[in-house]
Amino acid sequence: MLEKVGKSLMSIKLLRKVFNWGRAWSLWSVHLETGCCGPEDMARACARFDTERFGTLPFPTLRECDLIFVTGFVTKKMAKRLKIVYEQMPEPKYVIAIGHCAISGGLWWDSYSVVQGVDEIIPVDVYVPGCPPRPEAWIQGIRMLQEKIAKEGVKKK
Amino acid sequence: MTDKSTEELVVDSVKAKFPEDVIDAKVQRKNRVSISVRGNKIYDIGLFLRDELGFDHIASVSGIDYIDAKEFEVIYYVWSMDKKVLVGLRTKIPRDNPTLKSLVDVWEGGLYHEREIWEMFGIKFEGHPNLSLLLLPEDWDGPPPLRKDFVLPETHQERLEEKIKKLSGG
Repeated sequence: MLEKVGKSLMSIKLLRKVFNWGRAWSLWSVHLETGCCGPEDMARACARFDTERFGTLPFPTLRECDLIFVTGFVTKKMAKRLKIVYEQMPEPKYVIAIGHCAISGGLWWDSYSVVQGVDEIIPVDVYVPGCPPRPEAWIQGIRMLQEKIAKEGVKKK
Repeated sequence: MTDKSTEELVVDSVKAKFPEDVIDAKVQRKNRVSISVRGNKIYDIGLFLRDELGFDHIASVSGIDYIDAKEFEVIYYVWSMDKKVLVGLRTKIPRDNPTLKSLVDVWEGGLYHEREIWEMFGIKFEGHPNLSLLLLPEDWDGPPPLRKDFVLPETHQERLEEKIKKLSGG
């Protein structure tokens, strides 16, 4: 019932714009570091680059988060935990894959223990290449995601 | 006092105590000593190092796979807090039957290190209380991954080739 009401509200163009605007500018990210792009995550969140200007605030509660940065390689052991984290987040949720390792396995492209690209486990919205990508690249990734959200239709998944 | 260094004294005392079992003992550089011993005698030499010479801290355990010689080498790195010397205690075991008496009784800190060597090389440590997977995924059922003859599972390789084809084609 609620879902139907939501969908019909979202089909009104103006309302949809308002919703998408709200979503795009309050992307709270899960504080979860899987690999060694983690320090860049701290750099982009802290005062110098301060992605809270774009509404991206690292937050410890999964239930209030909209965004995961997959920072670096994901081992097969970590993959299960990452999936649990992803499933605990409420819709709508977005994923940004950071670094070569998260995109395709990177250095560990033929490893026995590393997932070959995080898109094998969870759907990815934006890929940010680099080893590790600088905080400016992260900001570009966030901006790309915001543009993507602004064009979003009635239902994503 | 003799003018011998601490490292040389360690080498000499081990050689004097176990003339049969020590294959090679030498000073590598300052603070580093390497002692190669025969098979399971490593347990007695470990006890001697701990009780008589004061090597009380186990820093690491590592393994090497000499696939051409059909041997594994296990190296125990032990450190003496008083002498400030790191000893690499090495032993070679046959590749087709890799078992070694566990040195957990000697240095209890080796618990996790031996577990790691067990899962990465498949070397069984007799007397180790808990040989279970440490770093590998819980559902791992393949061969030990750090052996030289380890090949990736076929599904993994097929997926890789598919991905490479997709990336180079598109």
